[in-house]
Amino acid sequence: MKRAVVLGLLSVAAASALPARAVQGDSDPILDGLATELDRNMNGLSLASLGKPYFLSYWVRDQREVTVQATLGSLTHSGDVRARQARVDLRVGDPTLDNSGFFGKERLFTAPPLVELPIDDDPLAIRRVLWFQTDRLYKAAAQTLESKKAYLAQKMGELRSPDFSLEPARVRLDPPAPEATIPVTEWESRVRDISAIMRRYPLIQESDVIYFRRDRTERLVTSEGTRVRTADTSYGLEVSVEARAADGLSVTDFEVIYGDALDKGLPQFTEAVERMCKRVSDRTHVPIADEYLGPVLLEDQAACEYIGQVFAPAVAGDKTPIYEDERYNARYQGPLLANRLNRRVLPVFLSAVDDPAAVQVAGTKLQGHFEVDQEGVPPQKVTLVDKGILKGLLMTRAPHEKIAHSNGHARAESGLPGARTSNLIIGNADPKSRKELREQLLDLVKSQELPYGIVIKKLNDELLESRSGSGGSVTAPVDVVRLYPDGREEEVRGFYWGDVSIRMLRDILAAGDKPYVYNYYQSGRGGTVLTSIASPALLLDEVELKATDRSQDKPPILESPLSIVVREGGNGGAKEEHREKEPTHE
Amino acid sequence: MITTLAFIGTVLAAADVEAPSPPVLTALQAELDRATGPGGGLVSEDGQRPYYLGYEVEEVRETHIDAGWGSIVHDTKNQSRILDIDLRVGDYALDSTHELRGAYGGVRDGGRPGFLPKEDDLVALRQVVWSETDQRFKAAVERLSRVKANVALKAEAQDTSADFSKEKPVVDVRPLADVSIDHDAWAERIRKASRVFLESPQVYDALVSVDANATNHYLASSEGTRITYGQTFLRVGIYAATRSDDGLDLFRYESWEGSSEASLPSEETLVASARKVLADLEALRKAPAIEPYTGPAILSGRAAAVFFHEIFGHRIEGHRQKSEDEGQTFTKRVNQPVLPPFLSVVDDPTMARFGDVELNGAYPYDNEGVKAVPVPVVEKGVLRSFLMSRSPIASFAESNGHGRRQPGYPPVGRQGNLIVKADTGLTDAELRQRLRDLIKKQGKPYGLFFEDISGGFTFTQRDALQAYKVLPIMVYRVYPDGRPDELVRGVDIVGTPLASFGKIVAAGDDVQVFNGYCGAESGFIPVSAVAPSILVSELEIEKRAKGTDRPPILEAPTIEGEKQEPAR
Repeated sequence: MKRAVVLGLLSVAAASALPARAVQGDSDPILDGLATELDRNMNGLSLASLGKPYFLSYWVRDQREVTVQATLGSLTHSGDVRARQARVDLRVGDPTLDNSGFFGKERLFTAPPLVELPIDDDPLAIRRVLWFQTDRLYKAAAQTLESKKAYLAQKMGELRSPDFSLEPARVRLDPPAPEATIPVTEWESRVRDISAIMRRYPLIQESDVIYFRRDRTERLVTSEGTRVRTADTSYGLEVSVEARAADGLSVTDFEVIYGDALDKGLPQFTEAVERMCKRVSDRTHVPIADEYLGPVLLEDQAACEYIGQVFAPAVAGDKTPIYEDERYNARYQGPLLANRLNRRVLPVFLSAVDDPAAVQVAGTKLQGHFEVDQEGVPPQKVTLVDKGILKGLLMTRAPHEKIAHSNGHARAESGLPGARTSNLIIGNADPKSRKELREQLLDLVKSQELPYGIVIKKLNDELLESRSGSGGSVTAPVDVVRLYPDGREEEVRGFYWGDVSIRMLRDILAAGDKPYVYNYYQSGRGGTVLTSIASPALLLDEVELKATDRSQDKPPILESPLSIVVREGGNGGAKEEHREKEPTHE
Repeated sequence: MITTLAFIGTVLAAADVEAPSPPVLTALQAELDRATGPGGGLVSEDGQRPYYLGYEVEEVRETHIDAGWGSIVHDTKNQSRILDIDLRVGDYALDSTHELRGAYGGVRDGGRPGFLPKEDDLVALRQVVWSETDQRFKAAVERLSRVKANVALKAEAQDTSADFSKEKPVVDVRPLADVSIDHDAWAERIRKASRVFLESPQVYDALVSVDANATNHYLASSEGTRITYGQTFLRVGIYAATRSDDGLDLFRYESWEGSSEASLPSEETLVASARKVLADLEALRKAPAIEPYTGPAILSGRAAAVFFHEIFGHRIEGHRQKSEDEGQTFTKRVNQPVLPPFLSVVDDPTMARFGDVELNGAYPYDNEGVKAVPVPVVEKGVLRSFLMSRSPIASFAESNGHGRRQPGYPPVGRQGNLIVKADTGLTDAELRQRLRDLIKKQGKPYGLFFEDISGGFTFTQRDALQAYKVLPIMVYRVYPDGRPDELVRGVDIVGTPLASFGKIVAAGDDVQVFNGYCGAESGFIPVSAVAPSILVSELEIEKRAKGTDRPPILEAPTIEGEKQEPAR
């Protein structure tokens, strides 16, 4: 009875907060069940010595994930999995000092970032799991707070911002995620077809084509009264290839396409994959790079990926977790620019905004948009850098000493949410044409008496690179040319980055006039999230690029089966063994 | 390839060479021929070639559904083909897999498993096999040079037996397996059974699961072995856990295994078993905690089976007699008594069922392509043999088909179906009388009866304590005056193996089966243990470690509290 009254009040608040959007399907037994269990725990959890929780939230994600994977025209995986996962945030103490963000030595139970819940729409079964998790978390939270207080007492004098920001409650009920319209079997056949392209490129030793689609409905209830249901559908194609040159060195490349770009773009994407296969095969014959120290021009995707890997994580304002065991604190470097507000971090002609509402840049759609972040806060446009000066940070509900509130950037795929970009747009007040940038690069080359300058057009994808394990501070360039003073271009392979310092951003010499838009899954705190980066080409002053150590790799001893097939005209070496492709449909 | 086949065909006339080869086997054979064939093949810069190349592909189709609190939690289908490669350079006596003594991770180069496409296109299959084989060959050449340096540097090993045994090739292309279950019917059954636990506010975790797996093995080697066979495995399990008021976590697990749905329980049985599990948990919560105790005890057949698997079975695995990191409890005791004379032990993977219970550890060929045979390990108390893979030891040069692994691990000698037999079995009444006599004789207030054991673990490494721990679930005090048995909780059996075997004084005439999965250095594999109940003159138990968490503060949400809002 009491709960019904509370909910009634919230509905009124919702109607006024969101006048433009009709609240649909406002009967949601799951959301009601979450709210019931949340109220019960907020009111009932209390042990004399521990105090009551001051905040509790249940974030629950329903997901159906379809994944289809193939190599050389043959499926390697096809899965269709439903899951329901929860994140429980329980806080004791008060917003200035609570149990969050602290890992004690005694390794108390801390909630796994995501808890598996029953997938049937049965509120009681869901509550039963949350009840036990919440109880365990409450007991551990109280002890964690004690350890945290003791730890902080030893660190006297250090200024601390509060642990949690209070934000208005929000009510919003979006319709659940729509079901996929294209059957999985259709995608199986499309993925097979794309992966069969590599059958014509025998220098490619390994290749992988992945289609995924995730239909998600996310619900959030908090003890502050927030009740949110949002829906999200994401899908895309990811293609990666690895070729091996005669000297054994591997050459990789990839193509990705996400969201509605794929709806009409499949034929063009397929052509892009074909071009990539040819490019990678050709690239196995180009010279190996020599070590280089000098100016570098980042064009197209390379500029965006560089901004995504160097700039984006540096402007997060959320708190770095504290480990009681100091060794972990030493190992973990927090955001590199978080303490440089109002100081210059980019050249004066550059600015940076994160604008979740931005729809497109230069005719290309941005895909980093989301309606509500994972802490229930709608994302706001944030001016990060204005005329080179750092003016803002990406915020979650963990306050920064100079920024008290969230600006709705708490995002996560699997871990605890981190402050992450949505649509990051780099603006340039002094645009230079492609020709001007290349001339400026060559001027530097001449004045520094270098034989050539380096132009990088594409950097490796973070996830692919971590899979192949090459490591490094920024992912390896995959598309690189030497630009000679006479204007001649020569492709090279085998570069990786030397030391990359955050100061390199300040020393950007010039930027282009046409932003390139890159929609991709960005790694970071909280996992990989779909992000959009729009950036002009960037001319970097002094970059150290190292040449790959060649002693590690040796070429394959035997010719690949694919080479034999291609050489002998398409249907296989020993003829009795090879039949035409007969994929088994299941 | 044709010549190789013809050759094998004449050696093993029974094999059907004309049978159509499954595509995976064809792909393996094609790459095998290229890698090791005459006039080409893998050759290193310094002229080395593989002297042995063995492929195994394990193709698994698995369905897993589980339910908790009346609702499905996971519902997955998976299909995978995992390629394991055993590529050796050097020769049978000393090869690239030789133990690197004194080196970290020196036992064996595990390598990584390869993942093959799930469809039958030969080019796509062969491309992966080729790429993985190339990497393995380079790694093996490099490792052999380290092996040679290590052998030259270190003192001579105690056991100088060869690195790899010579075995006859086998050609046996058997039909492949598939499995299907009525998905929706099973989902509904496990929903119903798991709903039972909603009734109790004290159950904290509960899961009822159903698995249906079909596994196909494809083996091909440079020695000429070509094997395919399929197996199916179905299981239904009930798991539930609670916590006593003083913070001891208690759980109960019941399961049914078999090769077809016929071995699985009906809905009525499943729900009734869930109720039994719930009743057991409630009884355990109320049962008194027991103090550390040493005295006589009976282990039920199931409990004795686990006891033998842990304490005895792991110590007769062949490779443990060779590795210098191992405790080698039995290495030098062949033909000497190790168990009481009324006990014999055989490990028999060819036994598909015991009575009407299907055995989990049955297989026709091991993961090295060697035919499984029954191994008489102990005859009337005397140790006769070890469980051998193709890694020979001083006293045994050949495999007896016990080289087993989970995909991705190098195989070692492991148990299959460990069967303990007693010459004379006492009836339950006789065994209990003997127990009461021992209690009185030793002046103890009570003895113990171990009805069910969840599992256990043992240390066989030399630098660890040669001890074991067995984790009982249902344990009763047995009183000498004939009072009813009393359930107790919170005990583990501890001991050292050699001392424990000497204290087995009698066996019962009832024989029970324990089906489970066993984890060791070559991964998790299905096993069975079969044993009669046994009477032990002295067993040591210690208190189980417990958490400090109290039971939950709030009552569990229950059906009663939910009645105002319809559940679905």
